[in-house]
This record gives sequence, structure tokens and C-alpha cells, in this order.
Amino acid sequence: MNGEVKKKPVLLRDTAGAAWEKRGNTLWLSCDGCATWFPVSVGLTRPGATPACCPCCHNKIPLN
Amino acid sequence: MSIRDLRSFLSDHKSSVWEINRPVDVRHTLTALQHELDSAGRFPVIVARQPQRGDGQPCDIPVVTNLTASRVLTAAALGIPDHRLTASWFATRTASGIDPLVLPAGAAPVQEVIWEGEQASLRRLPVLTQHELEPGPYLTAAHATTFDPDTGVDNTAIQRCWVLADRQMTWFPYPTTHNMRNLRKFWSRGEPCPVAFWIGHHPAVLLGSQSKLKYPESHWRATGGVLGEPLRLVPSRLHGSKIMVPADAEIVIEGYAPVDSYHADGPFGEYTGYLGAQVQAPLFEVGCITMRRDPIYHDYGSGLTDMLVPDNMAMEGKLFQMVKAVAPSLVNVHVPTEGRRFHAYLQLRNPARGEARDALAAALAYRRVKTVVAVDEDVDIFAPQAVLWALATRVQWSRDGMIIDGLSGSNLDPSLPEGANTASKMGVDATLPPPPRPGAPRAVPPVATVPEGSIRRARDLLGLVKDMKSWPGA
Repeated sequence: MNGEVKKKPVLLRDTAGAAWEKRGNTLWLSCDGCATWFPVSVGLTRPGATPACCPCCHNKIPLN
Repeated sequence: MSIRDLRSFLSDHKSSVWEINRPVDVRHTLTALQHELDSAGRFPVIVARQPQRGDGQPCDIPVVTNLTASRVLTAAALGIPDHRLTASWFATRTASGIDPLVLPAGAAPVQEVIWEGEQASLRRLPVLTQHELEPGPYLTAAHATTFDPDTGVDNTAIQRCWVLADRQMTWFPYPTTHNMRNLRKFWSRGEPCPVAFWIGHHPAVLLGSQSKLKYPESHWRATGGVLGEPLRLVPSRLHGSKIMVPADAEIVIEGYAPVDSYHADGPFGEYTGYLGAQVQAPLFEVGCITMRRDPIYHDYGSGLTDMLVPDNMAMEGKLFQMVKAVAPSLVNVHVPTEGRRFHAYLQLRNPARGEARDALAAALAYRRVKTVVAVDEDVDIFAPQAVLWALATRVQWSRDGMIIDGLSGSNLDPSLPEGANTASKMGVDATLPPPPRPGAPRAVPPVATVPEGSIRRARDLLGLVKDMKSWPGA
């Protein structure tokens, strides 16, 4: 170990609210390798889906 | 008869082509140029003679982009005398069609050079990386041709591919597309899906191959209709006559999508002007690459007018067919690039009571269309200020607005609620009421006009002015 602590990938989504309130629809993922944030589809969180791939460092990030 | 292909088009329209004879990085720089030109409202075809690949190495294959950014030039390429006549022209030409002409294997320009084995590397091509946060270089003008294993009928569509390795890339056919249906059929049989991607051709071939057709239905006949002559095809090297490719294309990439093999794909700049989220896409393994002796690589500026113009023109043809079937008063259709692919304007000539709303309902059934405005013949649907004038003066929203929820839509629409599978759409009847009885004036105020003779005299006077550009603008 070189002392680096591997970050956990973070998934971020807008919270649910009333039907008349505007809410975003995009799921954001933070790469656990380089901390780049990028949008991912819900499909990548479903069982059996291929891992997400950081567009910056190409780190593979399983989401299911 | 001379062959119409990409190089003949460039040669025939030299005054519209901007040749860049200095090194240009294919990472972002060419796309940045397109953004700048879009902002300036200028739409030359760009030919980069000295592209520098993503690895920094020069590439001797030139890049053409912005090929279809000009609607006027694209219409001229199709032989349409006025771009405003596209809808009915496209509907007629794609419906009539002309059967393709098949050349013997190996007799086509696109098979003059063949890369096989280790030679067949995607990284030898000057593939662009367009926008920030995209994961790498993407083929954006690759026309994926597959076939339905049940009927043998082929299908063609532009679908993006992320170059992952020398001989591997993703391939993203949207889940509802005909290519995806073909892929699923092969995979359900436990077989890899054969695919050929062809790149670079005359704009008439590019637009014809984007005709919106039923499933299964080959695009070659409709493409011939748009081209005005038989499209020359040749059997692909790997798939033979099961997958034909245009003989006069520039580059063809052939191979297979192995069963149940996926990779993450994106984020990627979409036609909405936003990045689409990363998705799961099938993988594709390259078998061989064929090309001309001196190939030209074609790229579409994704989300820019370069990509919006041709697809919107094809949409106009399809909408004309759909709406004309229920609203005979339809005169014209425009899908303006400022609405991306979500807006459509319908022009009607003296519609009967209820007909404008019939027309709106028919147009809203088109998956990508989200807002439709119906106007009278006196409103120029190619002038945004004229459409806004009709909306301002001919609409009472509670009476003339028509909102329909739960229709099919594009899940790339950033305004959709999370998890939505359908869209909320709106039609607006911005037509004037019909006259109370035939031949009588409409019961609305007349439009303020000046006599025709005065307009002529005014134009004569303005013709004397040497430099109107020095006068203040808006």
C-alpha cells in the first residue's frame, strides 16, 4: 500500500419531489480513480449491465 | 454518365469548400471550428488536408466535415430547386425509388485497397474526438448496414462508434432502431451479427439512406430515388451479397458484433446540444477495412447544423407523408434546426374546420417531434419571426393549444422527468378561422400591407444604396 485511499464511486441524482416541481433527470457518477463526474444512464445500474467507464481515465466502474 | 460521389460533389462545389492546408488536430479543433461557424451563421464544407490523429501523428487521409451544414447547398446537391420545397420533393422521391445497380465483387472503387489482419486498424483513420467529456474518438458518419436474418432484407442507419482499440469499437444502435432488431435476432440465434459500416459519399446518398422506412425495408431503393439514378452497390468482402455496400463510398469497415458482448459507450454530444449519458452498447470486432486508393474520411459534427440539416430534411419528407394522409390542405413542412429535431411547422392552405388539429395530431405521432405549429399559407415557415407573429396574433392558448401526454418521444430530451418512457407534446393551431361562408372575407382584421407597385419602387430605391451593411442592425 502506498498510503493512497481508493475513493468510492459516487452516484448522484436529483431528489424526488412534487409533480409540479422541476427536477433534473440525469444520474451523475464520480470516478473512483480520477474523481471525474460524468452522466450515466440508469441502464448501467441494472443487474448484468456492463461496468461504467470513466471518459477521462477509462477506469471500469461496476454499478450493480 | 459521371458517377456522383463525395469527391465529385467537392469538385462541383469548390466555391463552398474551405480547404485547410495546415495541420489540424482531430481532437476537438475541427469541431470547435464548426461551433464557431455555426455561431457566425456561415456553413462552408471543411476539408482538412493535414489532419493530425489523436496520437499526434499526421495522417494522409483528409477529413471532410460540415458537408451538410448548409441547407441551401444540401438541397442543391439533391437537385431541389429551392430548399423550401424539400418536404414534398423528399416524400415523392423516396416513395417512388429507383432500384440499385449491383457491380461484381471487387469491381468497386471502395474496394481498391483492402486492409486485413493486423493492418485493419481503426487507429490508422483520422477519427475525431468532438466534445469535452467524450471518452475518445468516434466514428460519426458511419452508416451501419445489417440485414434481417428472417427475410434477408438489409437496413442502413448512421450510428456512432467509439474506437476502443485497433480492431474493436462500440456500436450504438438506439434500442428501437431496425439495426437493433436485426442484432437481437442474430444474438437470439446464438450468432454474431454481421455489419458493414460505410463512410463518405455524395450528400444525396447520405440523405437517401436516412429515409424513414418501415421494417424490414431496404434503404437502397429510396436512396436511388433521392439520387435520381440507381445507386451502385457491391457485395461486401466478408458478408458477400448478404450485405451490399455503396460501390462509390470512400471507406468500408466490415466485421461482426459478437453475441451478448457490450461495453460502456459515451457520454456523447447529441443532436439536442447536450451530452447523452453513458449507455451500454454492443461491441464490434473489425474483420477488414476496404477503401479507395486515396480515401477521404467523412465526419458529421454531432449536435451541430452539419448533422441536423440532413436528418431534418429527411424528417420533413416523412412528416409530409404522415400529415398529408389526414390533412389534404397541407402545403409544406419545416423542421427548423433551432428546434433541434423537436419542432415542426406545418403550412396549410384554407384548412377545413378541424383539419389543422388533425394535422397537428398526425405530426405529434412522429417520435422525435415534440412541438408542432400549424399556420396559414401567408406565414413563411422558414422565417422564425413569421411563425412567432402567427403565435402572437392567431392563438388563444386554452382554445388553440393541444397537449397530449404519453406519446413516444426521445429519451435524450433533458426536460423529461426521471424514469419517463414517454413525452408530453404540444400542438398549436395558429391558423386563422375560416370565412363564415365560402368567398367571404375571414372575420378577422386584414393584414397590414402596402401595394405591390410600391414594393417594386421601394426595391428600386434600395438598389441604389451602395453599402447597407453600414446601417445599424437590430
